[in-house]
Amino acid sequence: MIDALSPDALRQHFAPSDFDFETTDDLPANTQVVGQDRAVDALEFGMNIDGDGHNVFALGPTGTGRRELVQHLLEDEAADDETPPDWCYVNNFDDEREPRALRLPAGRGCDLQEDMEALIEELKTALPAAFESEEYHSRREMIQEEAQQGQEAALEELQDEAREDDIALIRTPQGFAFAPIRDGDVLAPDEVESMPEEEREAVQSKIESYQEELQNILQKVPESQREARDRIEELNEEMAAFAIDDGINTLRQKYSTLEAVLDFLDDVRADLLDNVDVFVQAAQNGGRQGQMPPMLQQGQQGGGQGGDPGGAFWRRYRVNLLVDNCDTDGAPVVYEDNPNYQNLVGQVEQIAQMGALVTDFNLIQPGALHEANGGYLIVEARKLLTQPYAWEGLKRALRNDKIQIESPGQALGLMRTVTLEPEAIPLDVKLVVVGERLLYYLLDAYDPDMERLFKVMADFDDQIDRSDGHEAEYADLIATMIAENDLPPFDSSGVARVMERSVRLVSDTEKLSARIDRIRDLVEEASYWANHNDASTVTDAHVQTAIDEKIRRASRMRERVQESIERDTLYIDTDGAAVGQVNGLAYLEAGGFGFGKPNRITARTRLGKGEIVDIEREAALGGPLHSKGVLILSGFLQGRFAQRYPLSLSASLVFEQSYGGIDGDSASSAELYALLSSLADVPLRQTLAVTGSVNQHGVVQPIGGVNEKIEGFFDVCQARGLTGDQGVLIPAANTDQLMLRRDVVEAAEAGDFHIYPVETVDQGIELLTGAEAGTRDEQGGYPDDTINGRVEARLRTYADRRRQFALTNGQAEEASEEA
Amino acid sequence: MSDDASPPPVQRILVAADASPQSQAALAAAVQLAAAVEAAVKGLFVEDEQLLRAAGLPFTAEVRTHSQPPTPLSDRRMERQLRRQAERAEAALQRTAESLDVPHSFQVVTGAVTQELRAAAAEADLLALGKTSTDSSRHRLGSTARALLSECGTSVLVLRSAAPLHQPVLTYFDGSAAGDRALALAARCACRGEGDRLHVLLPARDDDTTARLREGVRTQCRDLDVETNAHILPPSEADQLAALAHPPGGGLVVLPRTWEPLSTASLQQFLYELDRPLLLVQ
Repeated sequence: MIDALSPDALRQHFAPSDFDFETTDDLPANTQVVGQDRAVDALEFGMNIDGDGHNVFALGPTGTGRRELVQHLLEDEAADDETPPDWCYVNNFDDEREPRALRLPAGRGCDLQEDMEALIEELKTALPAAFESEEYHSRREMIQEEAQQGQEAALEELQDEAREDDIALIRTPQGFAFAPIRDGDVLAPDEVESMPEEEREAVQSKIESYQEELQNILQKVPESQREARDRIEELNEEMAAFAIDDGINTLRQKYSTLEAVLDFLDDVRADLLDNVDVFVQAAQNGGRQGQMPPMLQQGQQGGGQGGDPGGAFWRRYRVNLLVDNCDTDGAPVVYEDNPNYQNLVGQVEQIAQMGALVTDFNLIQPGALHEANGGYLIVEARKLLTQPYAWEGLKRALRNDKIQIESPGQALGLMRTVTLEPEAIPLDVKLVVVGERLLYYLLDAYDPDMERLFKVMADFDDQIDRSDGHEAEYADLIATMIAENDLPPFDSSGVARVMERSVRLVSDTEKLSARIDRIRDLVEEASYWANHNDASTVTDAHVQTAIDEKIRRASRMRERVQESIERDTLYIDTDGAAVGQVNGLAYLEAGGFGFGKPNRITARTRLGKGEIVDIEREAALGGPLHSKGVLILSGFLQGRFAQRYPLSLSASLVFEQSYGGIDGDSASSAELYALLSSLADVPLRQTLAVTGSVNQHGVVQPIGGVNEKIEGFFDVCQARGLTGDQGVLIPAANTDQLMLRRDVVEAAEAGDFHIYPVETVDQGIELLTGAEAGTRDEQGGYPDDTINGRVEARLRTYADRRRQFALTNGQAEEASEEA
Repeated sequence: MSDDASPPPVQRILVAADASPQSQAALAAAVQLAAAVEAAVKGLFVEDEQLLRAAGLPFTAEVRTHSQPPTPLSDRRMERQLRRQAERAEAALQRTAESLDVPHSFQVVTGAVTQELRAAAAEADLLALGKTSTDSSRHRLGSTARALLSECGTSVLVLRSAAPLHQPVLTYFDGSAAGDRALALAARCACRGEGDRLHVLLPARDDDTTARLREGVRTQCRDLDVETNAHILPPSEADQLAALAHPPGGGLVVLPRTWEPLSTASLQQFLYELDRPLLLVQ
């Protein structure tokens, strides 16, 4: 009969004296991550490699602190990188629908923006002033005078010539007329009538020829007016240039090294000169709105004072500073918390104006890709994938290496309204997506772009090895959490207790939990309890309180279950013995809280055809793993006992009082014990509970939830009062997962509770019955007084009876009794 | 300096009305002036008989533009057009005069324009007319205006466009009778206008004469609420019309007819450079 485990093996203990600090205040508190070497190395590789498509997918369970870690690592790395350039959008004077992108060295973008604003302000007064000036008016008048004088001179000349010829040039209401005169007076009609025929004709022809000459003079009028207009245009340009050039040339000097800016300034100057009429007209109208180019009108009907064509006109010369890296040190690291399409790619906003939506390049808004350009962008996979078109938009930008701002409607070709198509900006960004494992594998399986775009996977583990180095780092990790969240210091006992809890969370004596969020929660809650008790330092007592309280908050169902057992609503025996009945152990989980519960398993056997009925499966309450477990144990049974004669039993197994589903094969050894007990007709101790799955050779295999299961049975025994001989049979392979509650360990230390590490079915049956299991002798049989012997005897009896039954056609009374 | 009683006031102002915008301006200026000196305004529209006669001839035609052929004139149509012009001018006079409470009348005659105006001007104390009767260059001085300016015995106000009200009035005072009258008119115009300012140019004389002239200015302006600035013309500029070509302010210029430079220099050139309403006082 095997021995129970030593109490030392039941729980991992971190001694405060093992740590080389008194409180967490003594620690440097600069640890961001413990272990996770594979993932961290992958991240560093991904950050540094330059290749196309070497973006990183950081996968792992939630709560392992991936995002913060990624951000921290990137920020460290990026601080030494080059600062990326500024980007601006400016008006494309040739086609306003396609604003131009301007690239400037970091910090010069806001300079340019300010300088253009200043220039605009300057021009707002200088240009109107130029066209309201005396000089302009007199020069313009001079041009018009000259044109008019030229015409008048010609007319006067004609008039003089005609007068010599006795023809007067008279002004009429709408033009001119020629009339014959004598002594300065126009001839009277009767005088003309009395004229001889030829004289009259002579006069008429003279008049007609003068009329023709007059028409020739008038013909020149449009031409001279055109000339005058041209000269006035030249004058306008000259005046405008004079007003503009000072400011523009100052800027040209300031940005002399930036060709793109110089080109822009040239375009601005050319456009101002093209639009000089706006200013001239505004100056002439004295404030009434002149013709406006088709840009936004911001509801200013007055158009400003004096010669100002209105605020809306000047928008065309502004600079939209899209990305301002003036204060950025190194490369940017951007975490986009809400990665919808617009926030990633940017958008063109619109303003409602008089019932229509209007826009211009000033309303282009940057997205996270712009801000991260030249650096790093972090997004969370689930958030990204739940936003419509965000994933596609992001991939498109990455594939094309440029950011094209368009609405999803435009991208899909659904929208046909006219809007802006800003020049695409080249993209150079390293993307890190943080996501669940499931999402990574789904994307990898179904999205062909994954291979091209995410060549680096950073796989985060759930657990951390408990090497010496890691334990010290883990303590510092706790200290870092305390520092970052401004919590009171923990003493070494508090840290120890936290680390013990971490081991329990992974149920593995050789590991610590990598679920940083849970540790952080524990640390915060422990601080709360410390504060609640007016303590300035957090100790193990506070940590324990935090643990206990958290469990208590979630344990309503467990308490109900325990109550049902205590009140005998659920039948569990914890003393005595019974045939064909054993305490199995089940693991229940609801709302993230798991607990163990003993469950009576019973077996009945009889003569039959060799089938073992799993009642749970028959009632469709058993899952496939459970059915598999039952089939395996029947395989074992047949393998051991049905070599020489057929298995002639019929048996049924059931989880008593279980009305929900059961799955998993962790109870298959318990079921086997119940069966053997029933066949051997030997009672099983009800002071023990059993867990473990069995294989076809009778080897007991490890199961999950071992700590919870043990504690579940312990709670029942303790509630009734420990008898001293109670305990749990667990698979030996589960020993290195034991991290039991301290009260269980104390009971074990007092000898009141025992945990038995079972390797084979034979070991288990010995503990449960107190009798020897038995091994086959040379004849191949089992000794009679062993469990196996008794089982074999019973099975042989069944086999004989069955044979007899078959031979005698059911005439059982005629068959003789067999031993 | 005259030691008569105060110079004869201006009571009858005659305005030469035609269809031109310059005549409109003259009309408005005349009404303003009338309001300042409490005179009455009479508008005179002369239907040019030469024009009417020409319209009656069989072969006269109106040339309007170079592209359309000349349209024949009809005397009846011409009469109607002229009548309409007269009606518009009369309505304009009525509007302006009533708004300033100035007594007004209007007459239409047919005849030779210059002669009729000259005759009518003899019955009036002041004649107001536009520089030309058509839309012309700044340089041009119409034949009617030219004739009336040189031959007329009455004071003449000639202009191209109205002077802004807030500009100060400029005058030249040399102590002559005409100068006195000019000063009186100028002062009244100044106090009427929003500028309330009167610039007086004095000739360069000996100190006594200058003191007397200044005294004369003060006497004239004593009862009127007008700010007076007197400047003395330096000897080099005295007796030269050019001195007045770019005088301070931009308002009405009132000059005595008898001032020598006006008879020797080109009035057309002076008016061109001045480009402000000019009132020559007899």
